[in-house]
Amino acid sequence: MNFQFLNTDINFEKRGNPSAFTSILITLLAIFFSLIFAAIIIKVSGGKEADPMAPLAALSAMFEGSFGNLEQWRNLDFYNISEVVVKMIPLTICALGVSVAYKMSFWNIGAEGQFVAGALATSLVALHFDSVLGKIPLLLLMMMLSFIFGAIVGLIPAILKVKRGVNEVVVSLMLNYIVILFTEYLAFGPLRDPRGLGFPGTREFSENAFLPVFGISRVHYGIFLMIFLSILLWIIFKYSKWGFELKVLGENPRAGYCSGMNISKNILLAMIISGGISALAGFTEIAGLSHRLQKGLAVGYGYSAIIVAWISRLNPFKILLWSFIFSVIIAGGDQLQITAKLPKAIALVIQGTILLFVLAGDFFVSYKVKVRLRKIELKS
Amino acid sequence: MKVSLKNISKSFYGNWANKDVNFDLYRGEIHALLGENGAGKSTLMNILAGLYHPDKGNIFLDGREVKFNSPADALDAGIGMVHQHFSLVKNLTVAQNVLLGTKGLKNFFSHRDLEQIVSEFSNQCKINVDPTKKVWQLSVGEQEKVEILKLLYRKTKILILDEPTAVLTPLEIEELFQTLERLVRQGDGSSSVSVVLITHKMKEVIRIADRISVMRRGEMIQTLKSRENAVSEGASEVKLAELMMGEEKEMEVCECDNIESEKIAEESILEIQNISVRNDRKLMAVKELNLNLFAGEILGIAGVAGNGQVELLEAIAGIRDVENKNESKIILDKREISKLTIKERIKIGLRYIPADRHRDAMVGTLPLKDSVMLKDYDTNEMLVAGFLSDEKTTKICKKIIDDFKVIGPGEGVPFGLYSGGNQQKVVMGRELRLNPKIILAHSPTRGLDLMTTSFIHQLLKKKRIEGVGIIFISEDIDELMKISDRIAVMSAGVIKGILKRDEFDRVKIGLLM
Repeated sequence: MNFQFLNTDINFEKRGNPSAFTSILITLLAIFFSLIFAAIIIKVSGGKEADPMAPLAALSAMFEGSFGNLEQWRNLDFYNISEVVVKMIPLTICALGVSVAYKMSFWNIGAEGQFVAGALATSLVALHFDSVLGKIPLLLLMMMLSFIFGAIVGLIPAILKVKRGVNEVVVSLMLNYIVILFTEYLAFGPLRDPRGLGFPGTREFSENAFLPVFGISRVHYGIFLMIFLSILLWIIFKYSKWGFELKVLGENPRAGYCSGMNISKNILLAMIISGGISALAGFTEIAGLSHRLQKGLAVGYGYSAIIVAWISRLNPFKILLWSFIFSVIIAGGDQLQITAKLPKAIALVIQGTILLFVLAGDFFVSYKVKVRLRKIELKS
Repeated sequence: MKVSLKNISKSFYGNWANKDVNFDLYRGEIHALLGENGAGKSTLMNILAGLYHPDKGNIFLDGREVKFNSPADALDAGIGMVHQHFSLVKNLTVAQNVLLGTKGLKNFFSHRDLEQIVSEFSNQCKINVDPTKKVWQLSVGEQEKVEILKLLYRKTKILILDEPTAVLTPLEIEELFQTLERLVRQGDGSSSVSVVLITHKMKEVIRIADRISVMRRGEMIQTLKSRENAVSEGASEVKLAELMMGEEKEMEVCECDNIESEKIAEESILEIQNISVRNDRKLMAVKELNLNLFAGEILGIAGVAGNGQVELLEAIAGIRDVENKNESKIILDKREISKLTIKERIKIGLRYIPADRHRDAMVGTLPLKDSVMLKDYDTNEMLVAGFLSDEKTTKICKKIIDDFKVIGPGEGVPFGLYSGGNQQKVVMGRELRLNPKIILAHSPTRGLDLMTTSFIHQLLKKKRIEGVGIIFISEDIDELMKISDRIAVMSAGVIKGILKRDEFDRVKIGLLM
């Protein structure tokens, strides 16, 4: 008698050069699956709603919130999408900031604090000089001081690392609380608007200190800074001596050291730039959007930026793209809260799942799965 | 246990590492697997050890087909491998390393229990290592023993050793071989151990192996009984070399007699006066050492590893601090360099080829190009208007790849995936490309095959004729005697003596060590 069995072998094999097509396809699949996962979460947290399509409705509400509906498009109303761009600007700039430090494997978790430090610097300049200086010098001064504030906040974990070998993750994370709470104290106390009738924040700056906006939207000229920084960092990473040093020190610091690179100097410099850039996001947010320093400024751009930088492999142009995707989710999250009466935090859940799915999908970018069926014949 | 590998094929990135390979291992034999770098020996054994899956082909144990999905499966079947880079936990003791991950330990135990188990077991196997010592305190030879002990404790019947002798001193090699022979001969029938020895050194193969299989370019060329070719040692070595290298043999010819001692210039290009250097454990590794290197000579430094060679070279290169900066001098081409940074020393023509290239000399996770650029990325060779020029760097890479016949999976692939010999060629290409004044080379040919070794020797000799001063450190006395103009013997951090070419003598050098 002959028995036949099918024996399945599943093997994983490393791909040499993963093609661009594969990685894009797998990324899209990852986003797709994370949305399905999100739908399940919505279903679970949706409570009593009996409609089985509720999760899909919620997701579509989310996208409508981000992109607007057909009706609006027909009327040339792009308000929703412009709100996505408004969120994308600080997110991108923070992600660009952390990517500088991550390039050399220095794990700066402090973008949120650096962002707030930039906002504080911007406000200080505006409050003191908005009636003294002209628009351009005022904006330049705001920008410079916010960069310096961010650099100082960034330097603290760097110096501790270089001098004492202290773990930068802990220091930069803890600094966030110090900077944020200190800034809130200032906004509540010394810098509080005396005529604000108890409003927790400074007075609104004079229009001299506003970044110009496009038309009637809230999209401000910070978008130019965002694009400029993306291009600048792309050039630095790819074509500059310093970018090369960062890359080598990030991958094999000992080899870099043996080749004459200065590790300490590079950590300090990277964190000056990293902190400075993240702080510029604070500048655009204050000067372009809120026009005053107030409570609740830190809404998590600095943390989402870590995910964006990571998911983009520290490529500045991919950072632009992923920031956009994440902003869609953040903006849609607001909508979710309004229409579907779901917690806004769902947006954060989706962000997290996208990261997990994309990272998991990475495995399939660099490995081929080979499934092989074998017939085994048993004779008896 | 008898092992048969049938028609094994395996490709990486479209290149065949193994192509239709058949291999048999009998019970109780020492079977040498011989071949150049990249011949596919390690790949084949990694397949047997469950680390790789073959694309095609089958594995049979005692006639029964098996499939290994992981090294753990292979270990369960009694097959274990000691890799070229050891898989020991440096901060744990020998006993902890041996017992790591084994079953049958109590939930709570004292370290003394562990040490007791391991010391009994090591006595039983007659492999002596102190179970209480931490692994980092051991010499490479002792670490090799721990690896073997680890496998034996897991009841391994088939030991695969990947290039075990590459890092061992002659004495340690002797001891290892005695251990292996004892393990193989002691058993009767079922309990005996078989050994596969991956190597490219023909001498030791003839000395120890029962059978020899020769591989070339992924294919099995021939399996010889050791006695078959043991007409006389010289004749068989020639035969093995022929099998290993095939038609390419002519390229290998090494002209070792072209060294003329009198060509050495009178002037020293490097003078080291009275330097002391500490090692990583803060112990004094180099003690008030003096050394002169002449322009246009190869100065060999002999000595057992760990006698201050690494520390000496790193101090000259500026990587390691000199202890007594004020009383000591390092003079390169009439210029005091002890206050210069690493980079400044590189710029004035000091080139260092470290022993641990993975750690010190290349970036394995990035493409080849980045390792080529590693030291010269800030020179006009690679820059246009202050920015790195793709065009220039690509050209330099291409030249190194062409000149040094670098073969690998491709330029976009991480450099760490190239074979060791090809990595070393790239490192050499980088260091010799510009005009160096002195070259400090630490074991640049370690683990490399004959062709690459002789290629590197010839490169260094060419540089020597151009007037470059070369310090060449090796533990292989034969290699040193072949290539050096003078040999300095280093021991316990000092130079014990310097021999001129006409005084070279193995015994003399051995005694000084």
